[in-house]
Amino acid sequence: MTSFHLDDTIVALSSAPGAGVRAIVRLSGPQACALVSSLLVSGAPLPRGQHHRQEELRLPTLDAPLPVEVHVWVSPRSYTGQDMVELHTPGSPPLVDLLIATLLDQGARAAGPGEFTLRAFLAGKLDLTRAEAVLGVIDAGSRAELRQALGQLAGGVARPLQELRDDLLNLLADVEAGLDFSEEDITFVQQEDLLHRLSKGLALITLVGKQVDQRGMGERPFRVALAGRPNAGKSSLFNALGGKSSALVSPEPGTTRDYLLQRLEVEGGALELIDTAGWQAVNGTIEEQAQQLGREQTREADLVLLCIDANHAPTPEEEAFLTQKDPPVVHVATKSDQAPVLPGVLATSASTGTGLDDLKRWLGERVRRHRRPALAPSLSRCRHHVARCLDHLRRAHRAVLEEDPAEIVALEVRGALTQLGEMVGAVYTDDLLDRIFSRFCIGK
Amino acid sequence: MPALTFEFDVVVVGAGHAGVEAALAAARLGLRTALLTMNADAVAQMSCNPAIGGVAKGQIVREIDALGGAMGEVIDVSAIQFRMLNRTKGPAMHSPRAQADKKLYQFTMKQRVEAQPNLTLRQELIEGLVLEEVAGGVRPSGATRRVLGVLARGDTLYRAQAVVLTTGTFLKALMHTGEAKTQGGRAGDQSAEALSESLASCGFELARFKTGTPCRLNGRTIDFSKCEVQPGDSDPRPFSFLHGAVTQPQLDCHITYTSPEVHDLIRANLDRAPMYSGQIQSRGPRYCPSIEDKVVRFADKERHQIFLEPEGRNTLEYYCNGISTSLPKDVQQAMLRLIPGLERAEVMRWGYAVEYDYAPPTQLHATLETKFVEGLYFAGQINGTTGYEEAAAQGLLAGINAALKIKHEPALILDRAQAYIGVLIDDLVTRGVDEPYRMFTSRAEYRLLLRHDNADRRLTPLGRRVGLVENQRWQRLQEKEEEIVRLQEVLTRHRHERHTLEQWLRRPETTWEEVTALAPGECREALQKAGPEAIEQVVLEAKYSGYIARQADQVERFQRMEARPIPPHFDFHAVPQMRAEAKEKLARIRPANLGQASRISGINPADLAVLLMYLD
Repeated sequence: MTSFHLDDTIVALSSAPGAGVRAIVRLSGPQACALVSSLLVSGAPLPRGQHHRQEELRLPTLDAPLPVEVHVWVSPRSYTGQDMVELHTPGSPPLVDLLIATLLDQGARAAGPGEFTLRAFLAGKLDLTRAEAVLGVIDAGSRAELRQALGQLAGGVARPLQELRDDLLNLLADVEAGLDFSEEDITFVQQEDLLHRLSKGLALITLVGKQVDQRGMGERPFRVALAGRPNAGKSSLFNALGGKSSALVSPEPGTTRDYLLQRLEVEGGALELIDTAGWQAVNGTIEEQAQQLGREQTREADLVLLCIDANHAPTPEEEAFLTQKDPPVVHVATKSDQAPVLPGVLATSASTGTGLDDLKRWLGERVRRHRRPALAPSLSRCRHHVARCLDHLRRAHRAVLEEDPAEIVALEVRGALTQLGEMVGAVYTDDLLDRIFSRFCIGK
Repeated sequence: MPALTFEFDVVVVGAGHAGVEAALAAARLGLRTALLTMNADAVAQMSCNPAIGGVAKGQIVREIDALGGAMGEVIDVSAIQFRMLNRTKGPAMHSPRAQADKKLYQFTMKQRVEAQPNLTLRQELIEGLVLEEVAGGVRPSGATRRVLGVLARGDTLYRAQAVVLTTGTFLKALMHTGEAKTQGGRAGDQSAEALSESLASCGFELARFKTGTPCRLNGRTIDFSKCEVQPGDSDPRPFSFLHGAVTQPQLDCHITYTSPEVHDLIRANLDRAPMYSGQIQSRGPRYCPSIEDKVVRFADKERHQIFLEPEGRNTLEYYCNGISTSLPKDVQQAMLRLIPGLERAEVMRWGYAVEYDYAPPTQLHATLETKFVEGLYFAGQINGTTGYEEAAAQGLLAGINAALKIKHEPALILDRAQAYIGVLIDDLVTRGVDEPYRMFTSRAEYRLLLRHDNADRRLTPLGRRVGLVENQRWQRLQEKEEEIVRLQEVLTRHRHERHTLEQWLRRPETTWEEVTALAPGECREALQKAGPEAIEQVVLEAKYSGYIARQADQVERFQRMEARPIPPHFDFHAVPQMRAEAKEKLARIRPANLGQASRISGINPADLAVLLMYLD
């Protein structure tokens, strides 16, 4: 029920997410000016009154100050009717993410979908007809968006998080039973068991936190893998797509993975191109390669380009591989200067340069479609919830160790559950009594 | 025209724990009040166990007392044993509980009622409500009718501006002991059949719950040498903030256990248990299961506790807490033979189960006034609750609100951050019940703030505002608050090794005595001389300051939502963007504010946003 406290100061990225010339981070609420002021290098608070000015922000873990253009509107003369601040910064996703995360840590709350518009309407700045347009967005619900972000950022942890939530609910039920039914001759939970279950939770949340950090937007661009039989023209295409900067091609240092990787700027954003060159040495069939790709690259790549020499028809194995859905596999014809290519197939020639621009444009389109607009703010929210959850579990763990009263442990576990609930849905702990009564014989 | 007509301001039907609080409150607020009961010998009777308080319930009793209710004062003078439960937990969990001398409790309360000016106690069997259509068709509250009074058997009308129904387990009550069925709400009493019909014909939805009670034994025939002794506290603490100390001697309780043989016997006779033969269909409380329930649901448990509780000083009757049952008499008798200490025990009263009508409480406003009939209030088990304390709390608030409405004064609604009573009533009217509702501390989101020790600081000012707190109680609180301020001033002013004394006190390992020793001479005396209740507040607030501040933060957010009202006539069906399910639920519960709306099950944040847009 976090979304409708109108006195909360909310924050969100209001420009299009992803790499761009500049990004706009927007705040609304009584603390908007104070929150931004607390980050100013100059240390002087923002003056009241509508204005804009150049400032520098100090962000944790960032050595250099971040230059920003600060725009201030003062209540009631703003879009939302509240104090509003916009921060215009260079459009680097990791920077923007860090900025939002810092504001959240300072006490801002991530805005729910449509929340600025809702405030504008409630302040009488919008008529109902116009405001109704945002209701659909609100209906979409912010939880779905968060779940999706979590899936993308920390794929594979949603289920463990659900399980953790379930385990914490059982743990809370045990602790609560010990509080409300202390007259029963039952030991609901032993200290050792509590510690063990809390440690398990701590380990899992720590892992999720690491994954979210590693797979943040800036460090985790759209990945395209080139696949194909030996001599299908993968490496030539890899180098040709890189253009002059193909000199950048180098084995990724510090990894044992046997593939080449380069960053590529296309219209729509950055992508990582992976050449599975190492497989050529294995002398394997395409089937083996496909299996290998399935095993190792499926989790890594967002898209596979299957390079097939225009001089040959696709083999049955290649045809089969083309039907793969996750990640999708797309047919790219190489050496198209040497033979005709079927319509609908991306035709390229590394030697003449034919089709390379089309392929890049096409890739740019895929990158754009992949970048869901909600992702950037969701990332900071996820981080925020993960960090808070970790905090609560640590405190719960310490409270058990120090033999604090059980209601303090319960308070922290409830806090952790609220944060988990924000990530995986369902905040309520209604079924607590059911959990108690189904497992313990209680009552006189 | 009825043969006989009486005029009152408030009529309370039923003189149990809810009824007496409602009647006393209304009369003390200056209204001519009638308290009508089908049995004037059963005023404030404890139909089940002879005890008041317990975890979460003890806090409620302290709250009732802080508001100016009667329960705390009466149990203090009639108790035969005091125990503070959960002493090993933190202060918010400390819960007072007392064993009562059942008859002394009843007589003390009855006399209080009899001595109360403005209050008429009378034995009557109430058979119906008298209502009228309201002029203009509908009230701002949404009601289409209002109450005029009640009809008693024998052609008697009690006219009143407000009627409080506290019918307990008596509406269409049916008792079961094995295959035998008897009409009546309590062993030896009748059932209120006509009143139930009258409620249904007024359009109220009624449903059925079940509860039960164990057998009572003659203490002369119990072998206590085979039982564990459970004594009272050596430093008993009274419930009432008016009482300084408990002086009466205390009696012991005893504990014995069931055994696998007992469980086998029960299993062999399950087909004769009304709960399992299909004779009883309605739902009972899960936290108060019958012994047959325990044996079936937790088959691998080898023994269950039985508390043997004396029913008073002037009787040898004992209550067997833990073996509530509706098994047939011969099985009850055979069961006792197998229980250590009870082998030769003589039964004085048999255990039984009782089924009764209740009115799902989502039909009420938070004042406990019904939504459809103006001036009609429900309190206690009629609202699907269980427990003397829960009943008394509702009775008190219903009586207060009935009086305030007649006096055209603002209603008294406690919120979830102010009191367990607030949690109780909000749960009832917002979420309804699906089993008899009992309070637990886990139901209260802000329980670190809702402690028994600060109930007076939380609620006595509110009781004073409505007029239920007399000068003596008010003065005691004023003095306590002043003393707290003085102590805190001393603690924050003086330092030891750069830290204030208050900071020293916050450390878990530092005791109050150690802190007073650190104070300079002239102040040390002031600290040492302070009253124990003021010291308790200062110590708890220091020790738990971090958690208290965190909860206070959450409370502030909570109260901002509560402060956004929804107009009583708001048409939820006219909100075009809202989901059908949300419309239906909101229209049925008709929440008074956004916070309450958010607690209705199945209402999500998106529904609230949509609602918010159409509110202004």
